[in-house]
Amino acid sequence: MSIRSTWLLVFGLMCLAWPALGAGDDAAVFATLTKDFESKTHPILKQYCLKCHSTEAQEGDLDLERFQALEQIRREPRVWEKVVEMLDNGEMPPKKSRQLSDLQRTELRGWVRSYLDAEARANAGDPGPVVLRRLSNVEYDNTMRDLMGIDLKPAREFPVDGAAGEGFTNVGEALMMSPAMLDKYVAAAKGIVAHAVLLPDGFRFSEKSTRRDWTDEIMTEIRRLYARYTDAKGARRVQLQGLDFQAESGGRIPLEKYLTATLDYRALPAAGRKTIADFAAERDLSPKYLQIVWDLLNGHETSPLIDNIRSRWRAAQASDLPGLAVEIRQWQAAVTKFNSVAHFKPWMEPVNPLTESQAFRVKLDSPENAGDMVIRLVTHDAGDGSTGDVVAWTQPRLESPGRPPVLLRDVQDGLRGIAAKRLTFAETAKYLAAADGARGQTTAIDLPALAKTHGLDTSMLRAWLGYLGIAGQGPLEIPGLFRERIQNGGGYNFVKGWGLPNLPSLLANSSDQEVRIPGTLKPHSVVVHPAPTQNVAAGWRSPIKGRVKVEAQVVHAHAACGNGVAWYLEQRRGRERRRLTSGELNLGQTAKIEPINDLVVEPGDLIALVIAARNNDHSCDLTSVDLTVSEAAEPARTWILSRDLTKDILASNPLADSHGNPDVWHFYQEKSTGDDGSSLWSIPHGSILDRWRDSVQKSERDQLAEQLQQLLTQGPTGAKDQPDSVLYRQLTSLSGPLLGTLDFSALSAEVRKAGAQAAPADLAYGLPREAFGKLPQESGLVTSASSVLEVRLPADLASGREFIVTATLENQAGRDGSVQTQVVVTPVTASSLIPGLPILVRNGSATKSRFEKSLDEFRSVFPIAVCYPQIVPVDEVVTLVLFHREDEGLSRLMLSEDEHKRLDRMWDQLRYISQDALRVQEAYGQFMEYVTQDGDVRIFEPLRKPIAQRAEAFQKRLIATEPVHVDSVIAFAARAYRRPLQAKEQAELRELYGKLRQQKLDHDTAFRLMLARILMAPSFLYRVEQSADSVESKPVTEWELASRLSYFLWSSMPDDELRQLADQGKLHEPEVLASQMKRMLKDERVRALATEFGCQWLDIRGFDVHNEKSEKVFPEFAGLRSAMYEESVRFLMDLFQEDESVLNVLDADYTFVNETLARFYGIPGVTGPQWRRVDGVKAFGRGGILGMASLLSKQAGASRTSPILRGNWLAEMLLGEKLPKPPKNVPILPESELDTNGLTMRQITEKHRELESCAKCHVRIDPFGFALESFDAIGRRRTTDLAGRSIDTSAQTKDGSRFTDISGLRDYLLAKRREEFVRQFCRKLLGYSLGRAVELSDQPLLEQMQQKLTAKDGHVQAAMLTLIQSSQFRERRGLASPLEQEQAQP
Amino acid sequence: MQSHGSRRSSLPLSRRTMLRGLGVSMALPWLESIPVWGNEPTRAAAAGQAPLRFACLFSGNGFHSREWWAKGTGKDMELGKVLEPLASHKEKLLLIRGLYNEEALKGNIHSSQTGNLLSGAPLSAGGAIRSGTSIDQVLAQRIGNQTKVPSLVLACEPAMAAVHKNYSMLYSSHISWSSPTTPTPLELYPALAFDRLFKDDDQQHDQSVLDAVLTEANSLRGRISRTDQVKLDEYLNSVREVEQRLERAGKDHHLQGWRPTLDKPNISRPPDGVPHDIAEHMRLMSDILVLAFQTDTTRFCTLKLNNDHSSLRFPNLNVDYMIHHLLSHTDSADWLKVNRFFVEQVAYIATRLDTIQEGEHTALDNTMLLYCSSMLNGGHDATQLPVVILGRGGGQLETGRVLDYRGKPNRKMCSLYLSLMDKYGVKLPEFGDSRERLAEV
Repeated sequence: MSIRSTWLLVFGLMCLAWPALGAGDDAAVFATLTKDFESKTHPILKQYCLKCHSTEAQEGDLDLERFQALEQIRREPRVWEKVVEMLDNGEMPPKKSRQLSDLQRTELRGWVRSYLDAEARANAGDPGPVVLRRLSNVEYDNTMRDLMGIDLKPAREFPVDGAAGEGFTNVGEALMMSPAMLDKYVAAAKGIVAHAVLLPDGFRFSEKSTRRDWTDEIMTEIRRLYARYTDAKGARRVQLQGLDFQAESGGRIPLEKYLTATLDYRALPAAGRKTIADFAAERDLSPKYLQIVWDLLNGHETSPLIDNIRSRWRAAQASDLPGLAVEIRQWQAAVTKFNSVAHFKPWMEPVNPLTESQAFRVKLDSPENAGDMVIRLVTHDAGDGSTGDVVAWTQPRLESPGRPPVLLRDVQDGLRGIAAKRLTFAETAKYLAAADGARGQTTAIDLPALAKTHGLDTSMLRAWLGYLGIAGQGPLEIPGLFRERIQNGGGYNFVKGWGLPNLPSLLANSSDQEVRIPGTLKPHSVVVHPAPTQNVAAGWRSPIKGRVKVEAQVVHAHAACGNGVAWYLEQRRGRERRRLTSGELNLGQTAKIEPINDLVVEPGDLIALVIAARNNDHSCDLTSVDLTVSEAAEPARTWILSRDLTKDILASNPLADSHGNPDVWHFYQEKSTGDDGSSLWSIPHGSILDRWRDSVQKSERDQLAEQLQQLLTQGPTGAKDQPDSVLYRQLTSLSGPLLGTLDFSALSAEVRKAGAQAAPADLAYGLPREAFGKLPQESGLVTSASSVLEVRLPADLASGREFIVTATLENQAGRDGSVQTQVVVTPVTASSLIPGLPILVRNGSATKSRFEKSLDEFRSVFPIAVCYPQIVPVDEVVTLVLFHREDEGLSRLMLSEDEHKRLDRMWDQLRYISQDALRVQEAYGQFMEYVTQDGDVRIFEPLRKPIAQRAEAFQKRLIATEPVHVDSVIAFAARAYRRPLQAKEQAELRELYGKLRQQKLDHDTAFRLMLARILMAPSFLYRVEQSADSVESKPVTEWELASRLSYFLWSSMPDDELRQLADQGKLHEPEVLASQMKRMLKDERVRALATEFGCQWLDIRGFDVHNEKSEKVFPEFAGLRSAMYEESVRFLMDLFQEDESVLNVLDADYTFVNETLARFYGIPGVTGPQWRRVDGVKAFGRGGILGMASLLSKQAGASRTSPILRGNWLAEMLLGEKLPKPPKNVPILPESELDTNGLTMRQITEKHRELESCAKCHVRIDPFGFALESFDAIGRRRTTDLAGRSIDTSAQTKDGSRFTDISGLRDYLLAKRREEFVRQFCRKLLGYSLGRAVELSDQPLLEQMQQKLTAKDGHVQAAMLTLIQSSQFRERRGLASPLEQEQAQP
Repeated sequence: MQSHGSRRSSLPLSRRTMLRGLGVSMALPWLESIPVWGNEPTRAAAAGQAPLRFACLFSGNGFHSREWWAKGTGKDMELGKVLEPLASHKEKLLLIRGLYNEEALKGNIHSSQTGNLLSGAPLSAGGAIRSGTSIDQVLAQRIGNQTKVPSLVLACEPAMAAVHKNYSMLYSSHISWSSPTTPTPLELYPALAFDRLFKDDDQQHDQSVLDAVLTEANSLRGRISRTDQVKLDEYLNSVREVEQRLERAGKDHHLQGWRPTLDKPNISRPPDGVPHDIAEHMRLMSDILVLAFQTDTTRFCTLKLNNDHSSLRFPNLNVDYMIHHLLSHTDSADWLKVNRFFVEQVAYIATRLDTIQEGEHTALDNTMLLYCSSMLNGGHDATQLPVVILGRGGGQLETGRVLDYRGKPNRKMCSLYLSLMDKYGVKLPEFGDSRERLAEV
């Protein structure tokens, strides 16, 4: 323990016994000094000094006359330090005055030295005056960084800190506070608290400052965990409102990796093989899942699905694995389906492939002339043998809209019936004659009677009349004429029309404006929108008799969604309907419709353009339509739908035309026939039959009828696309408009009634009638596993129809069976369990239970996805879900307990941070209010309550977590203050919170203000150390010691380990302190020691932004300076971290470079931007601080070198020499190396020495600078200067040493000036560590540090350890002395 | 340029007479103050009178040794080459030669010639920091509470963090001192200076927060040493001042009833960061100074154009090869060019102020703009400092003159400061090393 004695002396308390050891020696020493002062020293002073330095004259502000006795001297030892300095520098007495003899000089100097030594020893260990320090800007930034975990550098725009003490910015005296500075702290604190993120259990800080960003951060983290175990396969592209999204992607198990791992593991010798867990860890796989898969594959319990996989795996080589993975994926897809999650549905839903019956609908399409079609009914045994596998196929049949069905049973007989009907083609003329007669008939037609009258086949006559559209000439009726007006279509007052509010409808835009309603409605155009089973039509009812041209335009107007529409154009007369043309349209397409010329119209005929929803899907079917009818002959009027309608569509329905005819335009709906127009055939325009129909002369009609008969019996002669060729094909086709309408059931009955024998050719198709009827339904078939039943059909019959059948297990024999059935048209063989196909089993059967169990097992181990990785749903236009969590599989199969907990915590944070419960409630409200476009919102009504409850629960939770946040702020304060909080301080913080809430501030704001308050608190901004209440020095507290250590080594707050040790009261223990120092020096944060101590000592701090070089002379400098700085910083960091010798600062043969700097230095073999240590750099003139470009540049001019600056720096900074003040009116130096009258910088500098006043300093500094002249003003090696003159680096120092260049200088310093250098290092380190100037009483400690360094080969940590264990570092002065107090008064 | 008589008696009276004569037909923004005048008849004499501002501009390292001079009076004044950029302000200019600070002759060169320039105080060496409260801060502390911001301290070169020959370089980079131990922090960023004047984000609840930290600081105070208490008092005082500002916020603090000619900034907030180009940096800071006066946001401003021992280069002047400090040792043509560049900044501010009409005078008439350096020339000569004042201090300063104190007994800078402070109504018995005024000022 040391005590402060200086001020005690003031009160003449010398008589007090010194508690320190050796006090008795001190007394003896001071007694001797007193004696010597009186007898020798004082007389010399009187004789040589007091004339100028009298109380009266005070030359140079120095009064030595007042020192009459030792007591007075001891009050101001600093004065005597100065005296020694002056004597040593030879400055005093002045040259002109009387000079001391050598003996006198020695005696005087000796006495003062002895006195100072005694004084230093007497007060050794005094902690010295360390004034309250504010955190420097660097300390503030670093402390914020370590406190918050993010590096915001809030002090970057603060005013630059000043330096004091030994030249560092961590000295209290230079760290001022003022209102402007306080404003900066307030602004910084407010800025920082915006980065606090409230969490359920406290808070954290984020780089970002918006809730949106915080939400994204946590989502990214969750996704990262998801992605760690899954891969992104399986994406499906979806389009929403015209935008592409990837749906259902990711969350998939990387099956191949795990399967490969099982195979590789299997290949290891079983004896002594590593655990699955270790094996998985090596491959970065989930140990848990690998174990599960391994166990499954090596299991034995039978299970239909797994058995199959297992047996494939057992036989598998590596090359078989992809196939196995494919099989598993097929099953995954078969047993699971995906939902859109936007409305609170689960993403994945199990699909049960077990079924009692399977219905098939196979569309049969055959290219022309492809020959017969074969349908195959396949029965597979489902992998478990064929016991009980008897399948009933119910009502196998062919269907097509608008035609009678064709039972498979009736095919053979029916085809024979058709053959008979074909024979009637020879009587075609008679059929047409009968039809001609029926055409004029006004009453309903009695077909059998008509047939009988003409001697014709009734069914054929019915077919003919149907084809010709002759149904008896009743009046034309339009029952679906729209009655309701639509005023504000799509919310626009210029969009009006007819129809039902919820479709179908027809609208006209009367404006010049294009609008979206949604779907595009162009200016002056008409659109229609069908309903699922209701077509919309716009019809023109002819007011004329004659020939017209009909043109139609159909454009799908809503390209973003839906499936397009079907359309047709028809002519109606009475009950006749004639399909003119038809087609289908895809999204956004425009139909290509050939104009129809020369169409004959009668008054009252209707020409209608009809739009149908395609496949009953009416979403986004808005379709733009137009219809133009033009008279072929005079007066050649035209009727244009869009023109007539956009004037005043609402006037009436039907609407008058623009030529004054009433009731021309008709807008109506009509039940969809479901055929979309494809099966209603139109009579080819220009064909015989077409002409027959339009002919007005009987004789001509008869003639044409004869021609048709000839065509049908003899076949066409023209090209394939001739109207008559087309007509022929239509009329003779089994699925055509004539024969295709015949009922096979009736035909079959007819044939069987006739009892005619079937010819062998007839038996080629269908199945024998005996094959049917083994079931209750007589038209059914029965098969057994494994089998393929083939049925041949004429392509002409099958094409365009659907084959429909339902398969079930047969009631009795198939009760315990299990099969998979298929209906296919391509050849196939029956096999065992096929992935993806439904499995037929009977409800309640043991077989079904067995399969169910197997499916569960499969889903549990091989779920299609283990998590929903998107988190944010993008699968619906409107989403009510902000974040969807579905990751049960991931947790169950892959995550460790810790990972699972972490995942739970992250999700909890996501919900908490995003406040999604509240956001969803808001969104729901808006949704229910505004979303009415596409159907019924009532289905969302049940969500109202759960959403409200969730929001309410979250509100409660927010309130419940408020006290948690207040507590965490208090805990934060303890970290920020770097000590535990007193109870009173805690209470005050809570009080502040209460007060802010009373001011009607919300919790969030009050919380942030509390944080801000802590960050502007004196306990945070200042390194407060409590004073001992005694006059003696006392150890600082454990917490203060922790801060002393951390701010010394890191320029930042103590970390957790230091805090823990402080809390345990162990930090002061010397070995703990030592080990902590070693630990801390390894840390990256030591960079601050390098920059704040090292670089500041060497005067290169902030060199990375050094801006003092001429851009003209050194344009490259700006690109080099940060690399130059980084070299120095890394060198110094390494010195401390690796415990290098302090002499390396002078003598290192290594340095740190990247490619940029290495190239500048001419060091070969360094590529890339990364930093590395390079040895052997002396060979390139580098090594140690003297070879560093940072230092060499800093101590030079803007465009030229300066031996003076470099030499002065070396003398003062490195060696600690005290140089006198330069004389007034120093001579002027030239401005550039090119402008020196032929002299080199060295020669110019040497001229200085011709002046005696200059010489006494320049002999001490210039030689160092000369030796470094081989580096230019930015530290580049050179042999000539900018003017091309060669460089002379030889130097001779004041002590007579001679050397050249950097190497000579280095050797000189090591040999002759080593001690001064080491002392200077120790002095600077001491001053930095304490944040004050070095005092006389520190001398013993400095000596001790030097000794340790010498003893430990210069390793820096030796000196540092001595330092931190010294009383200076560990103690604090007691009450301030009166003198000090007096000085402290402002 | 308008010219008015410089006799101080003519000012308030003639304006009032003129107002009576012309009624309110003068469409000057300045006339907005008339209602205030009417409302407070007892303070009529003071009401509506433009306030007196003080600005101090500084540049380090002195000037060309032969070109800082002026002779003659008024329009006929002749100016040395350094001062030529001020030619158009001859009649509103007062050049004073021969003043010095005793304390600046002691200690080191540069740093100890600068840190006490505006206080005349002795400087502490040996790692301690101690100077004296500077004239701008004395004024701000006594009468700066009449505006939103008591004082503005701007700089165009960052402070230097080092110790030079036992003196902190803080001295070289700070002429404004809030207390003997507190150099006023420098605002280097034009945008932040702008914010300090015009950003109003103080909120009512800030008061509660400041109360809380003040309570904490007071309770800490009892547990620390006396010397530390002194340091902590800087903090306490700062908090109190910010609190006072909060209290003032919202109140009409134009105590004299003065309505500035601008009530909000007419230039946009400067871009973030420090301009790369030194000319642009100085221009922005000059504009902010003028704007601060014009809006009456502050009345006291120091603008340190560069440091003593400055390392600025001047690529804008094609003087790139040598930093300011080294250039000061050359007395070259380029040195002269750089000197004139600095004086142009002073001239710019004077011209701007002189175009702002305040009643029948200009803002320059109602300002004293002191420009000085720490030494006469690059040879560290501080025995006679270069001093020039622009503006007529509300008619109290007789300009168009050259005063030469060389060889006279009373030639202290602090005497000048005492004289100047008198004109602001701050009458001190002594300041720095002086108890006398300069009778001629």
